[in-house]
Amino acid sequence: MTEFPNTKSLLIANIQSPENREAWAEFVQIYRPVIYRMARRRGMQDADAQDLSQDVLMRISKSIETWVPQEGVRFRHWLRKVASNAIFTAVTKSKPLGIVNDSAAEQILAETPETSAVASELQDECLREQYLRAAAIVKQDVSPATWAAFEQTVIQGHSCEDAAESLGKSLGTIYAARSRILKRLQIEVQRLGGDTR
Amino acid sequence: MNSPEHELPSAGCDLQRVQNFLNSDHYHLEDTDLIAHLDRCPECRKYLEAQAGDPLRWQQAQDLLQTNEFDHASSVEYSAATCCGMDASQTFAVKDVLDLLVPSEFPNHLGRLGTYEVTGVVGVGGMGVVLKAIDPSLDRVVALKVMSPRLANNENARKRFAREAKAAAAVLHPNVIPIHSVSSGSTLPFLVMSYIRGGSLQKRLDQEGALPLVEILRIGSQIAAGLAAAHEQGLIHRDIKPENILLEEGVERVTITDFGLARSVDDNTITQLGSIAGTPQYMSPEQASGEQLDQQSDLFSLGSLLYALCTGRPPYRDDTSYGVMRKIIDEAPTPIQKLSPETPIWLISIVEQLMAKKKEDRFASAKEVHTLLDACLSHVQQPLSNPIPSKLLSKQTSIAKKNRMKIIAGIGLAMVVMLLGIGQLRFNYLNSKTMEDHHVFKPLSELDGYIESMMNSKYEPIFLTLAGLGKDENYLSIFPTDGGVTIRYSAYDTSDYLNKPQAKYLTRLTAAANSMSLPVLERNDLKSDGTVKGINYELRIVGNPETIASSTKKLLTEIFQINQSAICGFRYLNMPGKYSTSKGQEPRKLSKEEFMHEFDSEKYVYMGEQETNIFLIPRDLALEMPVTLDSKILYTDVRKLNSEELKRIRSSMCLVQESSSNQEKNVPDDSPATPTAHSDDSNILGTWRVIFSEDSGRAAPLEALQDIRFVITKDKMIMESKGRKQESTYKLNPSTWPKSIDLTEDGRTKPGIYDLQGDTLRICTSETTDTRPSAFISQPDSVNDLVITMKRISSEKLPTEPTTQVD
Repeated sequence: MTEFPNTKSLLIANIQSPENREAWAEFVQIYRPVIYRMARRRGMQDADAQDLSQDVLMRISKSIETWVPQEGVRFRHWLRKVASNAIFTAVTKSKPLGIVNDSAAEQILAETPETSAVASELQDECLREQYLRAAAIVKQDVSPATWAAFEQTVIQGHSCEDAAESLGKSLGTIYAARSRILKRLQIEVQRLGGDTR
Repeated sequence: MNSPEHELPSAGCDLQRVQNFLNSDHYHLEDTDLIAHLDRCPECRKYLEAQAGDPLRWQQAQDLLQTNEFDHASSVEYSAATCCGMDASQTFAVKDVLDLLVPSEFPNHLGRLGTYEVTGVVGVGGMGVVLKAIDPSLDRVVALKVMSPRLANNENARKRFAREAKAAAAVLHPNVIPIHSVSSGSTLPFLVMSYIRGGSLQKRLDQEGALPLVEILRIGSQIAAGLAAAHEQGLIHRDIKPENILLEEGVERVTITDFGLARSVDDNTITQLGSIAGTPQYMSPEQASGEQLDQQSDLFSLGSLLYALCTGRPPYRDDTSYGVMRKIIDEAPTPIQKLSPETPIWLISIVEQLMAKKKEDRFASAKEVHTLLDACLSHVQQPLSNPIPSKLLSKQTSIAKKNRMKIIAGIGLAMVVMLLGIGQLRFNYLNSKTMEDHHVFKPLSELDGYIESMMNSKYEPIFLTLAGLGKDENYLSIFPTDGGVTIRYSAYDTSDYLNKPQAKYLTRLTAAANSMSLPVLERNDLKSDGTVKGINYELRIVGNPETIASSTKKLLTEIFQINQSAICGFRYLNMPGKYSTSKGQEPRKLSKEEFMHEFDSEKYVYMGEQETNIFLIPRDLALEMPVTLDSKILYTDVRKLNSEELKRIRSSMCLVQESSSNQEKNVPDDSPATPTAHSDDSNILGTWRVIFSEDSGRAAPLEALQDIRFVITKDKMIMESKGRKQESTYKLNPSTWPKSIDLTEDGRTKPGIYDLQGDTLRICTSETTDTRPSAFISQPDSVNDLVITMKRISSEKLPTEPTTQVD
């Protein structure tokens, strides 16, 4: 996975607190592909979708200047709200992006059926990217055989018996492996800020 | 804890144990009994799965971790999807392509594309799938690079594909994969390339690790040749890495493939600025930071590739691509010699130059690299008839080059020791802005030219960093001043300065200045509060450049008693706290453990200390060569060492031991006793190799010396170098001081002096005058002396024996 160091440092320049920087870095990792995919789904081409995700993230990073720490509001959560507004605006309107307007976008989000579809799509994509990222982390921590047991039986939907045979492992090993990975996966997804539904 | 399986009967399964197993942080499935139990017990399996997550979670994991159509649609990978679903997506890509093939009439074929009969799949790349096919019209096997159908809908991707084809087809070179034709109009664009039987360089690296020197040079030279051809067409490959280098089976030919990312320099319209393409591990710093690329980027990647061939691993590794790129931009890789100590220094220097962070520090062109590597290959294959390329030697006068390698005179151990010291003198062009960027290392013998150039270009002061002067007193500085230079010696901690060992330098400086009728000025150096911090002793030398240079040199010689003492006063170097061991390289600061290990391995000896750092130098280097600062010098924090260790290290100055033991073994120099004469006559016989040579004040690069042998018989001295021989007669007279030697060649006799100590012989002759030199010192322009130091490699007296290579 390539992570655009120059863009990243550019984006990060707007953020002062180291803690928020970390949150932001993680945020970019998750949201960039999300925006990209949503844009592609709307017929944009590769380069345009890349530009759009870059643009949206730029805008979000600029609006971070307006962030005022408030009692009970975490930076992450605030960021997520701002992001959904910005992304919503970007992917539903082909006209040039305006300044992200928190309350206006929120209003729209709440109103039309189209917006609720976009909101849910955004939520799904974010969760998906969190899962993918969590999977990448877990995959690195476990042996290839353990991961293969999970991949074959859970992702690819093969039966545990088939996987046991193809991997040359006992059935118990396959069950143990996939269960532990699922458990670990959820922990990672939550750590990455994934919503539990 | 590991209770036997039968203690877990299905009637009373140990659910707590299942729970613990699931929550444990260890993923190596260590509870074998429980697993064996799970094998048989569906209930426990069910329980395990339920505890791991409810059915919704299992479903969620399955749904969300599927690769979808956009994960691989981007020219830039960034979604984590590419990490876990890779294999699946590659299968997709192949399947997609194969689905679009026209059914073939041949049952064994996968299908037909155009007129090509597809017989197999070669691999999956960034842009599509590579198929193996038969070209029926010519009945030859070809490789078809087919654009992924997902990308074929994308106008940009199509353009890029067409451009790749055009770019690659324009390059006709044996080391670049030939493109036979392009089909870009059809629904499935593809290009037809030669099919090369064999594996990639990556595969070979995986199998063998580091490659033999000859192979590295052969492969490197061919890649450089292919790149040169591509660069001539204005192309940049942008993705030079072992995977993209094919090694043809049974033929020693290397082919660059996959110009998938190649693009014309001036074609900037399609690849979006800032989007990064290419494999991170072999990327150039400018690529990693998203800057505009030129051909120099490929040279960096070639350097990284050579690094991998030398060491068996890529230069930069990290868990994430981002980490790799960060390192490429910021860090120097682990020195090659650390991972692969047998790599020749000249090859390391080539790799280092290729991998210079700044592109202007790299080679000028791929062509130059090709020529260089080719010459190196010839050298390695036939060292006698092919010298190492002169580019790799220092730019200084090489005796071999000047063909002045007549009969020579030399220096002995004292000179070696001295040169060790001198070799380490370190000149800094002190540039206020970028001090670290301007390190220059020069032996003292080159000082004059240096001062001259300094004066001409009005540079900032030179700091001559000396050894052993103690804290805060570690340099003599030379400043350009009107019509000359000022030499400043700074004595700090003035209260008891004269009691300190380093005061002797001041005494000598004063004495030398007096003898040259130069006034020494004392200037107080004040602290900010007005108190005296130290005294700067300053000397001013004016005149024409030659006068300045020779006076400066004389002063330095006096101050450090260069020609008088076998043990040099500044045998080791005071180094700055922060320095790079060689161009573009990180200093090798070691942990105490590593440092002690190196020291205990007896390969390194004490070199010196500065500030809180303690330095070691390889023993062989310390003994044999005029040392130039290179990455072989190790250092660590002196404070980490305990007093025992420090004492042990500090007492390991092998030079002192060697020189004194030689002194003991031999009759002292100043004794004109005849037995010495007699023994010299027989002791000088044998074969010698040259370890140091200086001509007109310039030291010859070591590489120029390595093939030179002297065979000394009863009355003849024969120099052999690369098959050539030069003969002269000689006559020793050990009764003089220094001992005399007369060398006669072509009827002309040159007066010289010699010194023979055990297996070390030094000779100094005057090449152009009839005046016998008085010291083993080569001087520029004036007497034009040649100095040579030799080490005995055999005592056989076989004048006609061909010279043997020293390993």
